[in-house]
Amino acid sequence: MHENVSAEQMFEQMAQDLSWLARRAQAQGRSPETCLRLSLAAAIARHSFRCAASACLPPIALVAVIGGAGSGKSTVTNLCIGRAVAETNPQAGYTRHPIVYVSARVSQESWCRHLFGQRLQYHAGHVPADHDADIYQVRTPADAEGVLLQRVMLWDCPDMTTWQAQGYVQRLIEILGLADIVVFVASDERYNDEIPNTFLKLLVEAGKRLVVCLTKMRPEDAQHLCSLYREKVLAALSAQADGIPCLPLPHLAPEVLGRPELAPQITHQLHSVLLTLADPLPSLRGQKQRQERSFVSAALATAQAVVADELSVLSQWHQVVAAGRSQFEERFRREYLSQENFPRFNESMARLVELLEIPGLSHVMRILRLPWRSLKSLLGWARSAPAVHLPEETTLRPAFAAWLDLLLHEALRRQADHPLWVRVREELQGAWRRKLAEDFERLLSQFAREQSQAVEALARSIHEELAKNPLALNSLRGLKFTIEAGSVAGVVAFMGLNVWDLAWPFIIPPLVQELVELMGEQYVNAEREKARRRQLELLQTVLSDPLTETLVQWPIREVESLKTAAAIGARLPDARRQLETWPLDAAAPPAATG
Amino acid sequence: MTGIGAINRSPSLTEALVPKLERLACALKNWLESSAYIAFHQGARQELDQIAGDLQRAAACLSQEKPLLLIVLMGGTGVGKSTLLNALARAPIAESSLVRPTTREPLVYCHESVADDDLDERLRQCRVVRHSRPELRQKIIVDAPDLDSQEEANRHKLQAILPAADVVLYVGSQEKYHDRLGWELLLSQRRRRAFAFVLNKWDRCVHGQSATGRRPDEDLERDLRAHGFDEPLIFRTCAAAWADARVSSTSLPPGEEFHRLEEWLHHLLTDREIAAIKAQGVILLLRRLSELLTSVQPPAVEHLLDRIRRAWHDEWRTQAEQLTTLLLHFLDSRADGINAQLAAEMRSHLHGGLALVAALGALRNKMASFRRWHRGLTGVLKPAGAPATQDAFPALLDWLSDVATEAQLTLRLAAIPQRLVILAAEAGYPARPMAQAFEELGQDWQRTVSAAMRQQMHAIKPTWRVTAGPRSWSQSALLWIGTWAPWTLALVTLFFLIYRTFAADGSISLWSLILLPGTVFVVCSLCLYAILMRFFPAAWDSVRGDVSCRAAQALGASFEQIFEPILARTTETLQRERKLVQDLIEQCRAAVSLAEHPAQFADVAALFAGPASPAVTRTSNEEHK
Repeated sequence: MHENVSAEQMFEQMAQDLSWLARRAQAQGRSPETCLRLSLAAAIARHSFRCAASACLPPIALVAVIGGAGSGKSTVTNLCIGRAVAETNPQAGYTRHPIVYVSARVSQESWCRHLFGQRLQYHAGHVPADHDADIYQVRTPADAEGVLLQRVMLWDCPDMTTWQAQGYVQRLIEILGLADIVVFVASDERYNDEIPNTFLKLLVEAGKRLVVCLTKMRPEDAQHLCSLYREKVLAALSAQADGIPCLPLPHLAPEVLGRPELAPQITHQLHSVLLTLADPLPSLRGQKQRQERSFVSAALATAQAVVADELSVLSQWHQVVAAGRSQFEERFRREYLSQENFPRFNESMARLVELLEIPGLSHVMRILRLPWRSLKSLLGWARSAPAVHLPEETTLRPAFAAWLDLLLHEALRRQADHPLWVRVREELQGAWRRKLAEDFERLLSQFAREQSQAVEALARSIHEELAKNPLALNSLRGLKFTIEAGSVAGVVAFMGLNVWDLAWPFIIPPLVQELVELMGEQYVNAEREKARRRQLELLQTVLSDPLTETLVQWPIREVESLKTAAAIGARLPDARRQLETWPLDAAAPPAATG
Repeated sequence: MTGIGAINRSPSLTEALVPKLERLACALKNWLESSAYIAFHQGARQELDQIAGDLQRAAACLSQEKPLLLIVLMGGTGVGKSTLLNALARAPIAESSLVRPTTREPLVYCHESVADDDLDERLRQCRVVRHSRPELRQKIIVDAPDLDSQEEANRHKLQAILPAADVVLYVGSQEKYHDRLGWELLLSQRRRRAFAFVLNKWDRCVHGQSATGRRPDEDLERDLRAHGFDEPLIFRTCAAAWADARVSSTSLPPGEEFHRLEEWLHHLLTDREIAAIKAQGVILLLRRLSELLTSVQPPAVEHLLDRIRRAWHDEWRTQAEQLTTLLLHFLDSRADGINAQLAAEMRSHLHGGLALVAALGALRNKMASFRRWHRGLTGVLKPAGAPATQDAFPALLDWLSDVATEAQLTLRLAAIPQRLVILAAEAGYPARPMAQAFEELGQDWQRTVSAAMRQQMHAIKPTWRVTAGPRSWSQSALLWIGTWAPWTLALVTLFFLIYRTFAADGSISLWSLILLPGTVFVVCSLCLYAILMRFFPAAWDSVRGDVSCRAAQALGASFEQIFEPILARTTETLQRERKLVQDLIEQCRAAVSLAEHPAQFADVAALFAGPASPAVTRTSNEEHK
């Protein structure tokens, strides 16, 4: 049961998505065929699949009579029933909502009133066929309890060719979604018109059983028109179209039009064709559903292309955002990082050198180095580099403003291309810019915090790692002291003791110290370089990544059409997979006997 | 048709109108070819191109002695266009059959006096059938392909012919009179040319008439009224019956009006009506042209200029300040090189002991900068291209500012045009022409900016000497004291020692005699040097202000020099285009008033649509989208 509910929801969602895409496809200027394909697939998912999933398919076959305006749909309906039940008149596009003819028994059934959910509501009572609303009427012909209506329900549908039809063609499509058999009425004038034939083509693809009624020709042209039709229209459709029955109904005299019972042979012919098709219903439905499934599946692939088109503007937007981002980061690198010396590292350097002293001997060593240090400072060698520090805000704030300016500039240039750019322009000149600036300030303070922490951590690690490792530290200290003391002792030992040798302790240890400082400085500079790279990474993770994400996601969150398209695009592959694995046999109605 | 006589088509009308139209078409073409602005309106451009051609053809047509009226049969497949033409021609000249679509190529039915050259160029490729009926002498009837069959090519053929049509005979049948494809075409063309309507297969319209629904002709008339045709000319016909030529009036349904259609074609479309239709067609064309021109006319921008200029000035002042800050920051980190230059300049003013101390200081500085440079502490940018001799101070600054521009300022400079476009757009200036003008500027201007900055840098003469005011006196005094005081004190000490040696009979070594005055000399020099440095330091800081001021000035001036003309240039182009378009609109208006003047068109008014009723305007707008 749970599975059924979720399948129902899935089909409802699929239908909504497809209908929305059908409207977008029209706005994109795609062919009428594509738009209709999507609408029809939506109707099939909404009605045929959903009903099958919840096992509420009507137990008798649905026959829909469709055709261009004035081609004689109502006349064919009357001929099927054998009584003048439908209003026939020469006004093109008179019928505005579907009317179903059923037997008295069926009209009592409750399913008969809930066939199309909210899309097309059951209308109790009798209204003229030109009543323009999303309803369907159920009529029970008084004295026509023939065999046909025991087995099928007959839908007289509105046309699809008049200019008013744009307002009501959706009602027709809803019926077609659920229909099992379609009676396609084509007149001698209309049989090769583009719009009705698009319907015909898609219905064949969708697996509906078709009967073609050719109307209005002179009786002597009937056979010629039939063969012309097979050759010109049906042959062009598909291989399956060959088997479509084709009934010629020549121009009828007004008295026959008013009283169809005068032409019983036509009624009989129609009955036999329709009943053959409708019997047995389970196998008809099974075949139909398999084809419907592949039709909807193909429509979902088309839908994917529509979504891709719909979202194509997003890739342009992403490019613009990415260009802004790289400019933002490049500015930070050039204006700030290339200049930054990290004065904190000088401290680390001093600590490192201090660490390498043997603790008890540091005072002695300091005295020994004093003359050399004085000389150095006099010569200016000891002066440290000027600590020039430009706060990163000086760079980052204008860089971010330039990023937004780039977006706004592009939006101004492209605003004729897509509504997204107009929206971007409006928002970037108003509330959104303020909100982005707030976000930026928040992220900036976070960045400043993390940045100083990172520098601090790196600078600290320079001496702390050594301090934590007593073995290495002490061996380095020992090594240094051994060299200092050893070289002094060596000199003294080789040259013998005299007064001038007192100078050696003032010369050799400072030189060793100088060497140590030089090596330390190389090491610290390497760490500085590391700190620069780390800063750039931090900028990317803390500032540019979240900002890019906000900017990139903005259209999908804020622009309704893109939001919907993106959501649909995410759902489509899944929907297609689910549809393809949907068990048809389980969905076939268990009791399908009329 | 009683009013015909009242219309006097004076020959002066065509004489005046034709040259006007030709001039207008010519001016329009010229403008379209030369305009840069129209590139922003590609959709309108195509239609304008087409109208320019139509205007020329209309002018050529009006200048003919007896203008030809082109009547095009338009409608869905199978409604009986070809049959109708056959009936009108009283001969089976057009193929009509059960095959749909029947007609694939337009068929032209015209008088034998019409030469191929007189036909519109779009019709010359079509099959032409000539007749010798005087009543149709000036009328060309074209059977066009359908507009709704599976053959899409047919629709394109029809659309290629339509712009040439003077009168469209919209043929509908009971089934198709309201079909969407035909109706949409009608709506898009209804304010462009004359329309008459034929409801063919009239027998089917009255056949099986029931109590419900409207009769097709009433239904059609109702909708046409709603769309601006107040008195639509509708002919109800059974063309098939007339084409058969076996007509007996008894077999025709009541209200059949083929005779009325023939009567209208043969006798009611006289020279005067033809002229009126032609003139009205020209007026509609001109109105459409003027509508289009108004929609693409550049807006007036003169009143925005002051505001934009102010905003731009503010902007580049801010930018110049920010850039200067960056530049100075860069120079700050390389202050020692600059200091060395300054110290060298200062040394030229020092003498005696001060000069000695200063030389020692210079040595110290050189050592320091060598060491720092050697260890790469000055930053990431190694002075690879540094001038070999850093003697000339401006050259050093040049080099430094070039490096800074290359490395740092380019990105900022590149962002300035964007900002300026945005500012202009915020003031209401059209963004796209402005953005394009900046794009056309290229990247060279950045070099111009750095060149201007270089020039300003050359003007900086780093001088340590203060030139005027009390400070200059005190500096001179200090210098004088600094030059002479150590000597004097050393001499005094020497004399004192000699005096002690000889007069006071003290004993003193030769060493003391040299060392003591020497020490006095050095200490005194050091003290005075320290005092001098305290009050008159030879440091980067002393020229920093000057450099900052000049850099900001150079940047601001070059921005103004580069960007200001863009506003002027773009505005000039826009104004010129605006004026050109305004001229064209004026010409349209003049031509319309000239064409409207003599003919009131009362007799052909039924053929032309007025404005649609408000209720349907919305729907038709939606349909146009």
